[in-house]
Amino acid sequence: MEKLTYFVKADNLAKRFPGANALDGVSFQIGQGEILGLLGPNGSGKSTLLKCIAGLLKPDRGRLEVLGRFPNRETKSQIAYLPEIDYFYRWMKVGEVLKFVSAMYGDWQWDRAKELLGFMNLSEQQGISSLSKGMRARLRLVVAMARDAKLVLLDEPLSGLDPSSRGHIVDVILSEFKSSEQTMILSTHEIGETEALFDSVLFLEKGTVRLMDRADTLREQRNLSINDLFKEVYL
Amino acid sequence: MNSYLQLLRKELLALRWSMGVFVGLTLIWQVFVATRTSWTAPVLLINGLGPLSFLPMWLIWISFQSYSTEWSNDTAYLLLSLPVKGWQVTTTKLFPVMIAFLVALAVTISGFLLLFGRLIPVVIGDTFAPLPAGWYLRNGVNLVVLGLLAVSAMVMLIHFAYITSRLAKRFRGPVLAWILLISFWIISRVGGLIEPILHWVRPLTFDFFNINQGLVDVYQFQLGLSPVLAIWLSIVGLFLLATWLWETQIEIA
Repeated sequence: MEKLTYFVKADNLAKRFPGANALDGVSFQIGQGEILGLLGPNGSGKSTLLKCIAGLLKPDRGRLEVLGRFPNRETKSQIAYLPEIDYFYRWMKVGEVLKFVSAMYGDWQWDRAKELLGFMNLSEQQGISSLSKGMRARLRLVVAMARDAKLVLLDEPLSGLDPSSRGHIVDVILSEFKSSEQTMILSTHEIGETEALFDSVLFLEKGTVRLMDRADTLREQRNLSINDLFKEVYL
Repeated sequence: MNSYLQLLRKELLALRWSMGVFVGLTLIWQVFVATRTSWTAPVLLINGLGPLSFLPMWLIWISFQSYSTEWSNDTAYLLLSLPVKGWQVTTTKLFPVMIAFLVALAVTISGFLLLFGRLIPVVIGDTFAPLPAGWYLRNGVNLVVLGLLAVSAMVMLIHFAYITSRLAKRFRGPVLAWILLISFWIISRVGGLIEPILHWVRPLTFDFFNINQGLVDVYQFQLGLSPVLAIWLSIVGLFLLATWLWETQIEIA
């Protein structure tokens, strides 16, 4: 089997919604084992880009290759996508959600799912409708990280979590990530907590790439942390 | 297979409240009617079957809801990110509505026979007594087959219209209504084209009767199935198109 050079390769990607260009000529590539930080203010196109990669949106223009092919049902089976919004059926229990999702993916790891539930202080008996926003955010992370997916897409994984638990969640993300097999794209504007995760960063602004490079290179060249660089780029 | 069963289970469980309310209200209504002492027997019988008149409206509602709630509750994100084939999603949304139809029909008829069965001979006398048991069986089976064809056609049409309307970025309500109208035109044209090749299908035979001077004269009425099947197959074609659209074209904004 041919080894993939890039897990995601986007060339001149564009996506337009009524009244706005969500993506406008975005080009980038990411290889195996990397964690890419997708950074930018609200409305910069981060979520749209992740949805295109996850196969939930079709680009209007440009070329997108995910795991060597245009996003389709096959690529979906190898992608763990965590959206920013709550996407669970409210009438289900936590255990039912896990059972439902586990039936859809061949790479589901029940041992890891149960371990993660414990880490996140969740129980299989809890009803989704009774969970707080923060607990539902934790469950989304459990669903995304309990798989051996080749590509992990996390859209604002810290959104809705209280500041005291964010560090703990970042530790979980880092400990569950297998750099020898996986690639991760993490969109956030909570850069302070997640900065240590990034191998590369991509700054988006109004649907265009403002800056992209290795995180270490940027820190050395600019003598700034990524968090400070974010402020410099956007303020 | 496990993924299909999980999708089917999800749809059935999502329908249970709506089904419970319809069935519950039907039984409450039938008990209410059965306890009316001042109503005449024919009025009691007609009102006992009254809930059936709401069945089509309820089926239209749950057919529409099975997709629209995926968007209104944001669960479309989950459903569309799953690596399942389009037909798995569309058929697991179709079959539960059919099951709901059969359950609602069975409960309404059972409740009617249980509560009003004793009144039937009072109203229609001994007219039906000489009829053979096969009369009830054959007509009953025919009606259920026609009902299933009609309900499945209606559900598939609504699902096609809803999925197709999701392709529009704006004015989805009017677009959905317009697609429904266009669909009627398409199925009449396509149905007309394929009807001749279905002439080999045997007609559906219904038994009717005349009462003449106390004698029951049973005669048969044959309903040609080829136009019915031609229209139904045209709608199946639209449903397959909806399945393809779901898997390849539907987006989350």
